[in-house]
Amino acid sequence: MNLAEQIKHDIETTPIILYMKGTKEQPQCGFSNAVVQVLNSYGVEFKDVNIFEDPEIRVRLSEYSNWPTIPQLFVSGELIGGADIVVDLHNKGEMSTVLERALVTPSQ
Amino acid sequence: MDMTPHESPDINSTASILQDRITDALTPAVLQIVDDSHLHKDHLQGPKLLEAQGGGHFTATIVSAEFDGLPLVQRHRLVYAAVGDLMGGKVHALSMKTLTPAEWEQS
Repeated sequence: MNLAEQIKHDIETTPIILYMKGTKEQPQCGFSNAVVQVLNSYGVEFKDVNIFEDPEIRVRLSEYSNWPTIPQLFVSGELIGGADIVVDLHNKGEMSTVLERALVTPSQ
Repeated sequence: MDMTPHESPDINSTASILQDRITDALTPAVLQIVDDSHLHKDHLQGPKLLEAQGGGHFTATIVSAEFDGLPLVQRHRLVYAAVGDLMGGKVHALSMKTLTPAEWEQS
């Protein structure tokens, strides 16, 4: 599997996956940190991918998602958005509905 | 709510180019662009040198009828498309609030 296929596979099979700068234990950007904090506040399991591990991740990811910036949060294979959208959904009380999709969609 | 622009950047500034591109693409009823690059100076140090080639950080509030009926992801994609190659170039991060005129009235 090449990197582009790997990214597509991970997004399609991981209930909640966050592409971010740094790790969820040690975010290296305020926007990535904001998304981690929101997800942690719901106590949900999620996979983090540090885009600094390989510069090509960012390129292939953006080609796949048609989204130019990091972080990018996917739930059940769908792009939810970056930090602005995640924080906005959280503040509007809509985030739990979004995250529930991860629970009802079977992963392969 | 004050609808006048937050500031009048000089015409060659990145904020000004952002303003032009978003205006052309989305004919916004309200458009406020704030350059908050100064809040992110830490990006230029240590491991964050990776970020150093990047440009400024901006926050945009955009009110446009083009957003009617669109989910947030699609709204942001419209803005990213308008901004084009500035992303990853002169613009490192663009934080945005995307509202329809009706949502703006209620805010």
